[in-house]
Amino acid sequence: MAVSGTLRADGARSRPDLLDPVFLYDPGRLELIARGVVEGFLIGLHRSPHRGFSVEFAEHRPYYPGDDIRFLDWRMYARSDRWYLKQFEEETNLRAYLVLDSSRSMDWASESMRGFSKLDYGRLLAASLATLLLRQGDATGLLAFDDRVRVHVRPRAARRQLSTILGELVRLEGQGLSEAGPALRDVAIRMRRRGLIVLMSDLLVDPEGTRRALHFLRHRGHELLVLHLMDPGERELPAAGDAVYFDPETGEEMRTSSAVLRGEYAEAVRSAIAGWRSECRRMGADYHLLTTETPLNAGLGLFLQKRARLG
Amino acid sequence: MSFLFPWALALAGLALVPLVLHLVRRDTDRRVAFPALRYLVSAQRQSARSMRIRDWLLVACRIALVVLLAAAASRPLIGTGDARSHLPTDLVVVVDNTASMQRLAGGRSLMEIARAAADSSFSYAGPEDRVWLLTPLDGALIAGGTAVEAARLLRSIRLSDAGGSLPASAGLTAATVPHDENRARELHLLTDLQEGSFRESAGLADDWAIRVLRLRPDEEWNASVSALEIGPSLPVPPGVTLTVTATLDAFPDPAGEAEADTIAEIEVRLLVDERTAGIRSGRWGSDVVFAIPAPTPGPHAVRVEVDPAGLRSDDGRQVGFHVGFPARVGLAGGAGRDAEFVGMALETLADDGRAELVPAEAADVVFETAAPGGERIPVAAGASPARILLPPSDPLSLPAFNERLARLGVPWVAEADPASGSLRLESGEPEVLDGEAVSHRYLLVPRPSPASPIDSVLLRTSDGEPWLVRGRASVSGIYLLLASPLHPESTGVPAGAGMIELIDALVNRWSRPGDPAGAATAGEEIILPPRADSLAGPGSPPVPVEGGSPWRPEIAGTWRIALRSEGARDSRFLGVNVPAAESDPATIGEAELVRALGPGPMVVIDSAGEWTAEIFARRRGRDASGLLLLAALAALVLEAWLAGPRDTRGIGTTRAGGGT
Repeated sequence: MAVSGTLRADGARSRPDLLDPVFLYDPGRLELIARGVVEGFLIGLHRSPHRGFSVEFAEHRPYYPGDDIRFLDWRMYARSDRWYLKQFEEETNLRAYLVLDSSRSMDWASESMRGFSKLDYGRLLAASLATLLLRQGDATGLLAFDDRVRVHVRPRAARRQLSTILGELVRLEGQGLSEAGPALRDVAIRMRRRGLIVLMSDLLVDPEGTRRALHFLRHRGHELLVLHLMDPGERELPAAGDAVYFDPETGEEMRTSSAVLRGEYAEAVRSAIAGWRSECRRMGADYHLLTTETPLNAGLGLFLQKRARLG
Repeated sequence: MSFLFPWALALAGLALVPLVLHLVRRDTDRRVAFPALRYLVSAQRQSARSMRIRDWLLVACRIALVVLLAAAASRPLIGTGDARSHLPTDLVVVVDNTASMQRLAGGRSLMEIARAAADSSFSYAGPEDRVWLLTPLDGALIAGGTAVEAARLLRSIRLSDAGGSLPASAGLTAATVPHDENRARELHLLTDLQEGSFRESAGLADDWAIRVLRLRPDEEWNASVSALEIGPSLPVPPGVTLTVTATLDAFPDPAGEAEADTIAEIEVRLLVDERTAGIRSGRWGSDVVFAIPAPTPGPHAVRVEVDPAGLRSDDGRQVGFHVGFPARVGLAGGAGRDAEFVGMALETLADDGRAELVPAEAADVVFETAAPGGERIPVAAGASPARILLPPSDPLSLPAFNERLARLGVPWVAEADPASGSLRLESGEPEVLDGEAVSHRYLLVPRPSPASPIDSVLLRTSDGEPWLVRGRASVSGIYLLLASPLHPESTGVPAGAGMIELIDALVNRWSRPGDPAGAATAGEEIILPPRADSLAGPGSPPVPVEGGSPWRPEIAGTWRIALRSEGARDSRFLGVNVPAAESDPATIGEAELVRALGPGPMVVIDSAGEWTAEIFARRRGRDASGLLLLAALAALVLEAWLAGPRDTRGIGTTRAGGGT
């Protein structure tokens, strides 16, 4: 156990993206953490953060196990009997909006998460995504909403854009009701060129309005990546005995026992997740569920998959 | 079903607590922030019915838990349980050790089987039980002791050749057992139920549970030498030929399964001083007569026996007799008219060799009359002659007579009775006195002092008052006190044919109990001769005894009584025989058994193997508290499963407030 613990600690030092976000999170060092996460993530991919594979050839580099063999230069191999990868100058015209739900429901953490809320996870994930996007030269913007748009940072690829976004994320507070529909429509209006919209929300929203908004975005030609954030205590109902349960957003309450409803609750959650997944698939959006204990590399990986498909 | 601690059932009232708590908790104000409430609402919508059922199941579990715990605390006892689990019991165990228990069953005597059953009773008794152990012959060996002590004393019980009354022994002991509502009373009777041992009644109260182990011998029919008579009457003068008459009796099997062959000739043997003196043939139910021609002077022992049949100890019968030495009789107190007829009768007896007249100082038996100024035999410590006390003809001498009685330590007073009128003597021994007239008698009134164990009324007048009393005075030894002077003015006896027989009985039989008869019945108390020095039983060495003391033989056979005397009169033989009633194997029926013992619940058990299943009637039953605790545990597990964890902390926090 001691040996594996040591190995894990060593690995974690070089790969913050693999760490449990609960241990990683510190709002005062959000930029530093985001950089560390992205660096670690990219090291894990064996990819340069500054070199893409999309447009013009730049140089060769030696092949390392794990590299995509589609970019092997067979001529160089024939001449030198060594493996080299072709690398290209990256070029971007991607505009990305990071849309983060900052309603009161997002500012909730179960006992096991020790105060690390969905909003905290969203901050960290958004910061990391912004760091990654901006490093690749993508124009990146931020929109935080509850029942209205609270924060809006227009997409830019400027060098100071990251600081702006991170600053807004740090200042963000969980408040208000969740109304994703108006926020997403607002994004659609503001984003005239087609781009990528990453929605990070617990989806405790008006489902119908949100679905319509998402349809509308797709209709406008935007790519959608829906990252459904859930606290582990929301997926599996923790034990709390008989109590009055209330929604901190709406104040709605009900008297029940968590013990007897655990099974039915889990089924209701599964049903809701399946509904969102099905809906997103139908409209051609990507849907992924992330619990707040999921290491950030998962979110980054999902993003990169999506980004790769966009070219 | 009963309860060890019934008051604990009151705890079941606490079952209201979970019910109240359940209703109160419906109004709980514990609030838990939970943003995913919509999923909870959806879940509850789907399971509203099961939630209600679960709620009431939960309440039912909690109520059941309290009720089960209360019931377990009350220690309920169900079923009949083991014999070891019984109420505190006062246990009286009667072990029949009479002669009939010598019979065998499966190679063991009935007594051994009874002892083993009694041992089982004691092994099933607990420390809260009190035990009485008794036999019909020994009385209570232990009273209110522990089972361990009783088991130890059980080993000291020995078979006897005597008879006895089981109901009487049980009744006497049971009367000393206090009634206590919190304790059971139980009688264990281990016996062959021989009818002869159940002629009396125990009179047990109906709260006595009675358990009887009926022991059956292998061979239930019996044959015996049931009587033995020697003629002429003892003591025997020298040169006289004696006749010995033995009565042979056979008793059929009470169940009618085997009977004695009463037709077949059987061999009957006569032994005199342990040597065969004659053999005759006889049949069961007949008498066999032997003659002993002119036995030599001195003590002799006669035994008549047959081959073993049924009970062994009654297959022979013995008697002791002596030849040539009649009672030495003296007269004291003057030779007036009160002694006139006595003197004549004594002379007649002396002529017949049945008495020897000697000075009063050297006599074994002394007639004391109440003539004023007459000689008196001084009262001496140790052995004294037997005294036959004749009241005075003159009532004026009555105070002096009573004073003499008092000095002798006789616990009776003679009082004048002018209103008695003409009376008759009641039937008794000798039979020739039956109906003799009594015109003057004194009332014999017992003094308020402890009676001697041998005090008895030998003859009465027709109005029921004592006429002849025998006893042992605390100062002077054996006495015989008459209520009338032996004078024709007072009674017709002196002038009648019975006078000689009365004086013969007074001198030779009643004055020397245990000696002249030469035979005794096992289990019945006799008085040893005044000069008795030691006793030697069959096959056992002599043991010192005190002359004139009571003695109860229990072993059948010929006993030798050594006397402090000289010459040929240095000993007597005493034949101790099994009571005739012990020879009859007839058993008592269950109805008679109820009459003999009492109306309490009775179970008669025929097999020693079933004994422990029936004893200790008031059982506690099996303790069901363990089962109830298991049920309570099951209710607790079910409750825990239904209610889920009892975690009362919040399940989450929100920075905007409202988390719990």
